[in-house]
Amino acid sequence: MEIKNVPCPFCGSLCDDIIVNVENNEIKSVKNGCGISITKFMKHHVNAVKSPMLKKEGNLVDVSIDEAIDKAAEILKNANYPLIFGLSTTECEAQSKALELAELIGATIDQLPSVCHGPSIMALQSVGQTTATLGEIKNRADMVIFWGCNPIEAHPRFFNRYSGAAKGMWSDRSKRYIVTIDMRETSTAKKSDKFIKISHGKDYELISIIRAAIKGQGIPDNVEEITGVKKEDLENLTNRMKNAKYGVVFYGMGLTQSFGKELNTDNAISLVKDLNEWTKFSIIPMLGHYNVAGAVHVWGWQSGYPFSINFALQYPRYNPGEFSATQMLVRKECDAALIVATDPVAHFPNEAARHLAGIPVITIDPKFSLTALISEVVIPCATAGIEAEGTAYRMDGIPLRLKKVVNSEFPPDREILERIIERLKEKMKEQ
Amino acid sequence: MKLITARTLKQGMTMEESKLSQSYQDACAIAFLNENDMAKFNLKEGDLLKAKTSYGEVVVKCGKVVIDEGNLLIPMGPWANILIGGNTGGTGMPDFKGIEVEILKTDENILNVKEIIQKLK
Repeated sequence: MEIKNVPCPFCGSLCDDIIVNVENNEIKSVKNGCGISITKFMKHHVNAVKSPMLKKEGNLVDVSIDEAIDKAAEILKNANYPLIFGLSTTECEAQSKALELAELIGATIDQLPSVCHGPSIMALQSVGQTTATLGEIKNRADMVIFWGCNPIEAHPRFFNRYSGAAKGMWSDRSKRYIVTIDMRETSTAKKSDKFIKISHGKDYELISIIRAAIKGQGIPDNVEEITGVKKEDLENLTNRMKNAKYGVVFYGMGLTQSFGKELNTDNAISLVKDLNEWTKFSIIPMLGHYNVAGAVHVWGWQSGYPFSINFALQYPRYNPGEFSATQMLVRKECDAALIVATDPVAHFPNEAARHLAGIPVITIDPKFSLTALISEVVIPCATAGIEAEGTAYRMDGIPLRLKKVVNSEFPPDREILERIIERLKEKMKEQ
Repeated sequence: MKLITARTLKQGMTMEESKLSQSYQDACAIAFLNENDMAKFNLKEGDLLKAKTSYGEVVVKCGKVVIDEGNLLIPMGPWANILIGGNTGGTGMPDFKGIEVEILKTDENILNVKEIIQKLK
């Protein structure tokens, strides 16, 4: 059976033209996907967790799902300052349930932006954002700037499907001037019309100089010494920006993880705001995980905040510097953790992972993540977007419905979280 | 040198298959540097190097890439993260790019993910 228009649950592009061929509940082939997408669909069963598990005498042993859920509820009930983390690679309904659970137990809840695009969201909260849909960009953009991002490797179809080489109604590759600003000549830079090499960590300075130049101030003669960028290249860039009919800046972790962090993104958004006095310009963060934007929206509706939220005082408080999962772990504050659809042991600084390895951890994940290996409780789930349907938000804020293409013997994340909440409420009444 | 961690296509593909696989280790336990830096440290592609920051040290394979001298690129993952600290400067975001790192050629072995996890405890 051929299932068409399947959104790919990997990156923030959520390419929704994937064709999946399924026979006897097995994915036989995938069309239209990038290398990562094909791996994600075709190998979703590789290294999968086969049964709910509990750690007994130092080893993870198979148990029933009821026993695993009971133990998870017990750990969360006994914790004084629990952490819930992850959820950027699952569906919105699970994100909503996780926030409900966080409120119930007074937990800190955080999602992946705290280690990728948190500074983008913090900047957006302070200066707003001139945004657009990827469809609008594909149809209209005649100038595309990739700043500190490398979609050819991280969002492999993004360049051809939505931006650089996408064929739109009024624009296509031949009408589009593409610039990559990066500290190294990435695969994306090689596909661009112009590569501007910037010295590492000098983004804030370069953006400030461009903003001044756009407003008519001269570009300093020593700009190359400050930023690594030739004066002539900057003059050309600012002229092209002002003369574009419809420009867009896509930016990545080159801005958010380098020195300056949210101040870099704040300045980049402000540059785009300035450019709108001359022409139409938009800016979009290249979200790496497919449903970061979903959690930003859902948690925004429920609590008012997008990530790094703390319910210890029974009302939501937001402070990434205090309540990001990394900070909570490095300060050794949390005494239990529920990890859903992510792998902090693989992706957090070792210093943070070390504290996680010393406290009771519950992991809900379809695969044996590195975090599952240090967990007290491991609960396998149906993989959202492959074995379970749900809603996800593309990086430009467009919600799409994920499809279920094969069945799983395990429930989706939302059901597991709901069962943990129910069991927890029962245990609270028993007290 | 300055340490830059970043996503790569191979890291993304192997991560989606299994983080316990040799292919994931091959994709992530590698540090890329400039040709001149390789000569400076007497390294050739495939050699093992030890990278050291104030937070930790890790052995990875050496790879060549077009990048400015003085920069060391390691794909995001458990090997790179041994070198990253937990300080976020009040932003919540660790310094994944731009921290000082020293390198030297080594004949020590690359730790696999299970060995890295053992060391966490």
